[in-house]
Amino acid sequence: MSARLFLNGRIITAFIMLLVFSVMTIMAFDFPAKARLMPLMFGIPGTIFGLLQLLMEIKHAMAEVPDESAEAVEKAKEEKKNETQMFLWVFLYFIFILGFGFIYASPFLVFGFLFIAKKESLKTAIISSICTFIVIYGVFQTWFQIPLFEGLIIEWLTG
Amino acid sequence: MLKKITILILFSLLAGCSQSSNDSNANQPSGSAETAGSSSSGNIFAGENLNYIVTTNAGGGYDAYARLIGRYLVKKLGGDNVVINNIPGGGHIVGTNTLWKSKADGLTIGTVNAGLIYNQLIGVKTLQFDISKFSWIGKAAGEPRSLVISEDCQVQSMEELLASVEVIKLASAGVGSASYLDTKLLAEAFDLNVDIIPGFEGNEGEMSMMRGEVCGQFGTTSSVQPFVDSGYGHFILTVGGEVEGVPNAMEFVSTDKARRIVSLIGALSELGRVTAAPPGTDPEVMERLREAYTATLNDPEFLAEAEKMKLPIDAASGDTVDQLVMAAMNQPQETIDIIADSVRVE
Amino acid sequence: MNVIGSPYNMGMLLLAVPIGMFFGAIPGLGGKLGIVMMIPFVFGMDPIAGAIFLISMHAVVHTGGSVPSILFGVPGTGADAATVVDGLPMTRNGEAGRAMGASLGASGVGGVIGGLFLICILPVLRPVILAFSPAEFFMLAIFGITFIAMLSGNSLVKGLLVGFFGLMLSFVSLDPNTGAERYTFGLLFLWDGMDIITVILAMFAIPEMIALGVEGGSMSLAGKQKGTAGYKGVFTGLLDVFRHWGLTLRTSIMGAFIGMIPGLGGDAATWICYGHAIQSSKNPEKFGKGAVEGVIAPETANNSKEGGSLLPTLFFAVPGSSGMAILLGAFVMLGIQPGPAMALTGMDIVWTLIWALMIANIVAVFFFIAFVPMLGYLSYVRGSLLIPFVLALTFLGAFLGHRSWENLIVLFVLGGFAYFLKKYGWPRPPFVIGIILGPIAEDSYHKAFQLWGYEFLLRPGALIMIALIIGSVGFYIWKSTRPKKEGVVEYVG
Repeated sequence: MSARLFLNGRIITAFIMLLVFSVMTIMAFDFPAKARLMPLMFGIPGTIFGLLQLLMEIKHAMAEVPDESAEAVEKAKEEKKNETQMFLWVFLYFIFILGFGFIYASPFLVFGFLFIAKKESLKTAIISSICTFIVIYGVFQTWFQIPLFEGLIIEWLTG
Repeated sequence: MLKKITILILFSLLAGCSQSSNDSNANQPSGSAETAGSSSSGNIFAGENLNYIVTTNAGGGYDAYARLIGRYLVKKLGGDNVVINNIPGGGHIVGTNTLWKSKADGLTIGTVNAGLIYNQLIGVKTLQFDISKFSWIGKAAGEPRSLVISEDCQVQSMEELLASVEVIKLASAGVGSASYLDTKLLAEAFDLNVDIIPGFEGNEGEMSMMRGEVCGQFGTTSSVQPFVDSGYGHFILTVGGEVEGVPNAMEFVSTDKARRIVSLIGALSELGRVTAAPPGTDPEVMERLREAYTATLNDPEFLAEAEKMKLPIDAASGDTVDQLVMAAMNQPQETIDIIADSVRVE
Repeated sequence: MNVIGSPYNMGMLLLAVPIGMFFGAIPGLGGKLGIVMMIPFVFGMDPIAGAIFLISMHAVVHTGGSVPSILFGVPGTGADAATVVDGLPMTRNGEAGRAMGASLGASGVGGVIGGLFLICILPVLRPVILAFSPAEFFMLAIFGITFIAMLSGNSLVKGLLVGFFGLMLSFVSLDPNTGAERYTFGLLFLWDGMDIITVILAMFAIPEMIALGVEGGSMSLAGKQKGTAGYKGVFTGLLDVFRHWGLTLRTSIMGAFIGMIPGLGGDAATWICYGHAIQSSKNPEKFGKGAVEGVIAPETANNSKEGGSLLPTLFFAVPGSSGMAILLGAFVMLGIQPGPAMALTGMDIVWTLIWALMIANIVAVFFFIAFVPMLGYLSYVRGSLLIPFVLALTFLGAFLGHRSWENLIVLFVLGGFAYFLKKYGWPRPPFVIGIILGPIAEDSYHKAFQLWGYEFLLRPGALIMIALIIGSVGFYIWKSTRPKKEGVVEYVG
């Protein structure tokens, strides 16, 4: 039972909230007098609320009777799989754009997502990719003349 | 499978080509005609874009000057276009850091805010540059400061302010900003009986004066001019410039400390709108840049446009800027301590 | 009249409107950035034409910004986030067309009323604006913060936590009142505080896209319902605006008034008006589930506030909102000098701009009507096609706000967390209130305190605000503890 509690998403989320508040509140004590006023004014009640919410979640989870039916378990697994996949792709977006910049990374990411993750047709993936490129390079960089981030790796390579 | 790979390769080629052609840092001399004054090694500006970093958001003073100057400057250099790169943040520090680290090939230049001298004097850690080592191209205009007092204030002249027993409230921008430091230093120099209330950005200080909350503000003359012109207040002191009928701060100086502080503020006011290239830029390239800059600031078409946009022009060469910066950086420990104390947080 | 009289100026207006709507519709680009990008375009132009172009563009940004908010739950700007709360559920219910029709009508009406409000208040402008000192700003900010409770739906504690979370994040910055670094860990990009656009995209765009990817299907869960995405739906929405004319009128005026007060920031106006809609409704529990009033209220405010915020910008050179801050700089660049002198010498420019504002809003309605049904069908498009584009634009938007790549990290981390907030039923709107009002509350508190000490609470303006706050909180508590059909409000998440 404690493992279930430990891994329960609701509890983890409430815990993170509590953590954020308590850390920020503790840090605020080090600020000079004027600067710490508002952070403490909201941080202390926030920490208390965070604790309250966490306890409520734990109580709720302990009282909850999980639905052990086959289809509920199946649904939960499916959801988890999809979530992991989506998070993975958002992470990939993040890493590739960070590394290689918008112009290089975006078309590839769009292509990859459509073709690999969502199993769209090759044609759809390529056309979307090209459109992305046209919009980002053509509209933003060229027409609006906004120098776009080139990616940390590219910047490091070009010195 | 083969189809996929081919497509991916074609793609990368396309992306790669476009990337390099847009890379304004590439040093590719083309065979186009040389413009007057180019050195024997070919005009490095020909066919290239001039990258002009502006350390504020678009719109507003620094940006306006940069856009106007940039347009003329790039033509005089024989380049293609000027690309204004707005890099705001951290009170001009982010953009200046970027300029400092940019390639010193003459194709990247940027605005430098004189107020950063304060930050460097007290050793602010996020500065990644040494302001005295920038390659100065020139100055377009100074930014004289003035102390403005609202018509409702108990004191109406500098003499009255100096003699005031009551605490006079002055507005300023956020703590650590150049405006705040200017005000603090001025107060220190003349031992003024004032309470400085920070956090008034832009023209908020004027509104506060109109509401009768604060008595006055020490800021750039040009920004407060409309306020004065509309009759809500008047100047009682000016530094680093001349305003008709208004006494200069130097007239009230009676101690060494005061003289040094007023000189420092004066030096910063004189610096105003300056443009620089990253340190270590080739001297020949610098010469080209400085020439073109001076030519720009003397161009009658340019001056006419500047007038239309209400941008005062008071040009000075890169050498002069260099001297001003060096002089400003040369401060005794006492002054540095005063500045540091002003931003120290209890 | 300068605007209609001159074909060149009118041409500028007609050009500016679609551009403004387009920028508003792209998340992260909205408003500020759009003006910033047009500055090179208007640089050196005739001041009047340039000003007309910019103001027309800016006036309709939120009209366009409602599109992604309603269709995808991705706000075009911070102020549009309020439209998401009921706009998105309407799309889910298959009523995307109606939502957009309502938003369109509301925007148009709001913009015009905002302009009229300007005209009416001009004679007493100065005393009204000057009546608001830091003391009143502080109380207004607190008033706005109490709205957090009202937007918490069923779980007050979660709502408060999210709202306070927004407030805490708003304190991340180089504190202008002391120069102290707060929560910045020595990182320069945090000195100016968390970037609003990045944060809002993280809280709304990322979770919606992840959720869409997880669930599959399209934004509209109701399947193609004939008529609701096409013109019929749009006209239903437009009529809704007039059906709820009381609300429409009230929120337009409130929006314009709040926009007029510099230092409150226009974004607060939309949320306060949304809160007012909840307060004044007979069935507050329908909000958040697809109530058309929940779209009308913020959308009128979105457009009327621009009219309001024009006033302090022009007459005091103090921007009424962040968009106005850029406009202010642009005006200066064009050679127009906002400030106290405006009332004396620049009145014709003022009139021109007011008219341009109103006409632009009307023109926008027509432009929009042509496109809306098409846009409505987007809600039926396969989610998998939408997601990669929206994600790409989201990351781009986060970068563009401040041109710093560090914001991408913020986007990812906060966005990931926000998905779980969404999943487990934590309300997200309170966060926006927190992050917008936090700096205002703190800044005005310190100023008020330094100016008057604790007595600032005794100023007449402040006392009125305190009464309003107590009244509104009391009213809310009374309403929510009244026995209802579904029983008493629960406080459990």
